[in-house]
Amino acid sequence: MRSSIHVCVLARSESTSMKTINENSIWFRICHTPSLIFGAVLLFLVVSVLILQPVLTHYDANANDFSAILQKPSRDHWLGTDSFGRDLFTRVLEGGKVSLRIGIETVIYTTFFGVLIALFSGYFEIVDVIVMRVMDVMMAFPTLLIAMVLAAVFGNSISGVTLALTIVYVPRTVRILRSSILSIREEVYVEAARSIGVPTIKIMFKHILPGVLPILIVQETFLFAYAILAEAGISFVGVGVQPPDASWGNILSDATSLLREAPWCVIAPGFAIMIMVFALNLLGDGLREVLDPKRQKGKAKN
Amino acid sequence: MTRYIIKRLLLMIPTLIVVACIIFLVVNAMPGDPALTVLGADMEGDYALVKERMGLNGTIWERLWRWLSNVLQGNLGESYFLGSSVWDAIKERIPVTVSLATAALVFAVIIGIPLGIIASLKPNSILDTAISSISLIGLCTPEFFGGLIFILWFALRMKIFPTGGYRPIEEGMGQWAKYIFLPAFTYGLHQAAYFARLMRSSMLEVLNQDFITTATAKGQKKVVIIAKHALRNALLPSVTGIGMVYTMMLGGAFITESLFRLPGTGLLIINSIAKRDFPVVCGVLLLISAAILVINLFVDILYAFIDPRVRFGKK
Repeated sequence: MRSSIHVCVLARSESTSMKTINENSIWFRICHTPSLIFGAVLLFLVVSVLILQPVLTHYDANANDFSAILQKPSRDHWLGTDSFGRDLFTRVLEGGKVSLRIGIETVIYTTFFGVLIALFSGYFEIVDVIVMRVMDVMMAFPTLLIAMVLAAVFGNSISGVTLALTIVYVPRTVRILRSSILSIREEVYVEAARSIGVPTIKIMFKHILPGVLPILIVQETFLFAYAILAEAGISFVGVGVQPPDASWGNILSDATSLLREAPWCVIAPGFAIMIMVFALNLLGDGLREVLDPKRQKGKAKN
Repeated sequence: MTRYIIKRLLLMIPTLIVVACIIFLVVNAMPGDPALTVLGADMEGDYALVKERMGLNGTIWERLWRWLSNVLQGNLGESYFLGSSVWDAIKERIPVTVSLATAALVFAVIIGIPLGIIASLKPNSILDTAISSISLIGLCTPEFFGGLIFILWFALRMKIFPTGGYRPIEEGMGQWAKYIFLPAFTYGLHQAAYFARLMRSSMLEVLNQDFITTATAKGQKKVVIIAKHALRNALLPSVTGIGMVYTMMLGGAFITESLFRLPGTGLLIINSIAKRDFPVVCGVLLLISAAILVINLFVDILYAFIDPRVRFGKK
């Protein structure tokens, strides 16, 4: 009993001392990673503009105004109007909210199921065998194509697209998490916890999960970007989010036939997607640099 | 090596059967009844008879069994609406998708890999930052937006290329190239960014290794070090990358095909989803999944040939 307490105290003191060093260096590294700061600021700006949409515009995203069809950008309509006379700026913001929602929900669900599956399969070999076979099969599917088919199965709606993207992206998260869970499981501190009788569930969530957190955060940031691109693509070909709901993909799709007369209808939603995905990618690159899973893995091994 | 290949080939069969089952069940879960579409709004004709003729009678498991046994005999079934067998419909569209994906891959490789190498030679220089930023922007540009800009510029304004459509390669190389250039360039540019980033990071990793330092210390010329020592090692990840990107391109081609109205398998599947032409959707999905499995196997084998560590590890 005494020795186990001793191990416990040792493990705790070591973890706190590591934490203080890490915390110092993490803030230091954040300040020295321009891509992280720039990405975070850009993302914050984009999200703020999307949220502030009711204040920024007084138009209704779905109200047709046939007296103002296909107008060029002007003071009244900052980004012009589309073929139904709808204010494009309002529609792009409205569509952005939909795209953002799909992105956030996909990331949340993927994280939840991905972490759960990866933890259980990394810890129980029977689960692992089954899960790995299932994942192998899932990886044989063409990602975007199957996401499109699933979106059609779930009824071409916002939640349908979210569900489709979640199903497609969970295997990726599981694969990435699983390999690092397998190595963390063999660490001495996990064995120590097991030896003093910490329940398995607690070991999984309190001892192993924090170890994969850096990888998870980086992975999910990139996944956020993929989800937004994928949603736009699926909606662009007319299978994803359906009108009258606006999404960046279907605004672009509507604009395709107007390319000759109204190129501004294409530019605005296209750049919106680009800026959003750019911000997320910068953030992901920055986070990877700061959290650097490789360096942490090396540290853990020493 | 031969045993490894045979083992992998045999393992592919059960995977493919499971994949086929999943595809059938998922596609048939789509809401909407194709039999009603065939009958039309006036509901003339016998509903049960139409259903039976379309093979839609029986429980989902009976239908799965019927479809799967047909597929295993090499029969993908009949399309509901195209008036031809699924295989015939797919067969005439495969060259389009393969043309697009292959030409795009060529663009991606010849643009991306050199850019990545150049960027890695002087890390954090202005040139490196410029290439890295451009490739990041490339990664963030959805191909359909890039494509729309290109159509606007090269097709509508400068009138160099057509806005869309396709000419088969049999009608002449020039015509084919004229029609495939813009879609392939659009699609390839997006992936070129990926190759540039991949190549840069693997080059940097190799250039920091001891044997490069040794070669430099021996007084070897920089050109030789880069071309002979570094490049050969750094290209390894790109081999896997090329395979992965090609499978991704086959599966993602539907967006570019839809934008440029290329009559490939992607456009076929989009139209078939809209009409609920289940056999065609299943057929295309199954074929692309099989292609992905085969390409992945091919890449693994190629990798084992190039990298002795993999080969001997496997043995």
